[in-house]
Amino acid sequence: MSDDLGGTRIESVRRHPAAAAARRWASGENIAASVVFVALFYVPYVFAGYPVFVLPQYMLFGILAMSLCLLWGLGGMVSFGQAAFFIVGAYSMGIAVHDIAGALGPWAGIGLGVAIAAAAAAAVGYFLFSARVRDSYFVLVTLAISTIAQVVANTASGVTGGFNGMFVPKVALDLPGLALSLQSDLTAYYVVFLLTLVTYVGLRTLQRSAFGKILVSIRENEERTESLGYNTALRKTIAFAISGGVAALAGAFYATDAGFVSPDLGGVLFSTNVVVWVAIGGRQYFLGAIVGAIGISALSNQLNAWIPTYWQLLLGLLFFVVIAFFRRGLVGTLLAIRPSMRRAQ
Amino acid sequence: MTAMLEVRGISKRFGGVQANTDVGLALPESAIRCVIGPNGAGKSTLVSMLSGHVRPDRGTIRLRGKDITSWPAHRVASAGMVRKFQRPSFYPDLTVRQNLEIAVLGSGLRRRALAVRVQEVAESVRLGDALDDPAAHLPHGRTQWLEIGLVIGRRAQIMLLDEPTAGMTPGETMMTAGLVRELVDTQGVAAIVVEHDMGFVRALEAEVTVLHLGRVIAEGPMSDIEQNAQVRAVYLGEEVA
Ligand SMILES: Nc1ncnc2c1ncn2[C@@H]1O[C@H](COP(=O)(O)OP(=O)(O)O)[C@@H](O)[C@H]1O
Ligand SMILES: [Mg+2]
Repeated sequence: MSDDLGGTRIESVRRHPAAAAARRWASGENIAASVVFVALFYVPYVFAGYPVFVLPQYMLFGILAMSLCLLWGLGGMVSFGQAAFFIVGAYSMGIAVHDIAGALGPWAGIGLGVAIAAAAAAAVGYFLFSARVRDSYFVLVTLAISTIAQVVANTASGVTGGFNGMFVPKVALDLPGLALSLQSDLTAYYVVFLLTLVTYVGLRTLQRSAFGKILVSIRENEERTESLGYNTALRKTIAFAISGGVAALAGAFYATDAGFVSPDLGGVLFSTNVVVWVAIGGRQYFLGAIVGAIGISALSNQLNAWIPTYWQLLLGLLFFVVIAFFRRGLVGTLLAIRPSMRRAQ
Repeated sequence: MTAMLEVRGISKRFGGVQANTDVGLALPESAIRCVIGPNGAGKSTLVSMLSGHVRPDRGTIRLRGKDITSWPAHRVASAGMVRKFQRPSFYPDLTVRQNLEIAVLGSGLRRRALAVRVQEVAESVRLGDALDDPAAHLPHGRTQWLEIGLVIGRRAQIMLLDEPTAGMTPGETMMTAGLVRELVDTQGVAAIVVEHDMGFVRALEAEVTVLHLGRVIAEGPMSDIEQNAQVRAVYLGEEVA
């Protein structure tokens, strides 16, 4: 019976490969992601001014959140260290723009930031995962990573500006035949939009690859995966390195977009924010990370304006409700509704 | 004749417990070896040493002539010796298809070839109709087959099966014996099977190693083993009495 069904499906796939590909593509998550990205694309057409100015920053937080989603959603590793890698990218950009004149500066900042963060994450990850550090011990170590990043940023004031922070000018990205100056809010908006989209598509591709599937199997049962012949410590190290690199990528663009980097951007508090974004948005979905980061950042901003005293309390309450009643997060919960609706029809 | 797997004098001590002492065995290509013995005899410890999960204190393990004694588990599995644990170990929250994909990806297949092989493996362990079920929804007996499927999917040359019929009905136990026999005969794999069920061991018609208090006390075909006075005393005796 079900063999027959399987046979029929394979048959129709052969006859209409394009239609079948389209059907496979039209998963709930892909449709939802299209809606979100199309909406983001049209924001500048509808709202001028403040939203266009502030949304790039939130989208960069979205990229930072996706870097955690790779670790947590796929690999099952909760990290409170993402801010540390983010700030490596941010300082890298700031320092490179100051020290390297001309068109090369910003590119060097991005490249070095991503490379240094990925290498640092790889080194730390290698030691942790080879020593089989996991679960709450892993969380503790990542908390320490954030603490160290913030302390170093504060003390190495000769390089980072220390407590006073570091000002970073709005850069121009030189491409062959095209110079994109982030001084224009609209240009900055679409550069960051594109970066977010490319990162999203890249991470989704990684998720569907063999590497992504094996990472998920490590989350589900690491011992089984190892016993099937996979060096799980190596794969977790690679995931950690990619995650660190993606966080630094967001940090590098953040530095020039926000114009200012301070040590608390690498600390535990900001890292915790990232965890909250991903938890509320839905850790199983890269889209959830984006929606969580943008949504919570925008909400915080609004609440801060309306009720400056209690907004953090309100946010804490929201976090509590999501953790207690909607464990899949916003996007996870919404996407879970779809199949049951289909069944009801 | 050189054996595919050659184990010489391996021993393992856990604190005050001497779990294995001077254990040896040789396994030819495409052969089945059953390991029997009362609870605590050291059967799982032996399997763990073979699979690289426990490092022997002494002795050597050679796979096709290569000394793999100190290899980590993932390397041993990549070299073709893949283990099923005594306790359940699969991916309950993934579907049967996704479970098998993880195993088959390890053999390097991708895309269409991957899907075809997953289907093939599922059918060979009688799970062809359950590919899209969450593994957690399988009845217990079928999860054991899924676990054998994982081992097969990884293209094991030697399957290490630790109590593959634990918790099965007598009917399922006999089907599992048939399944292991069939996999060995059709896919050319060899197997080391730890078992308690004498009916199962007889049905496999294989050489038997009897462990007692961590030592090999008898070795040979089941018909000889059943006549062995020492074995009857320590093991079969319990069952008959
Ligand atoms: N990891 C371990 N640590 C300490 N003792 C162990 C460990 N594994 C097994 N043992 C002990 O070694 C002996 C043999 O156990 P095991 O190999 O599991 O036997 P079997 O599989 O034949 O029932 C038992 O006494 C058991 O308690
Ligand atoms: Mg055992």
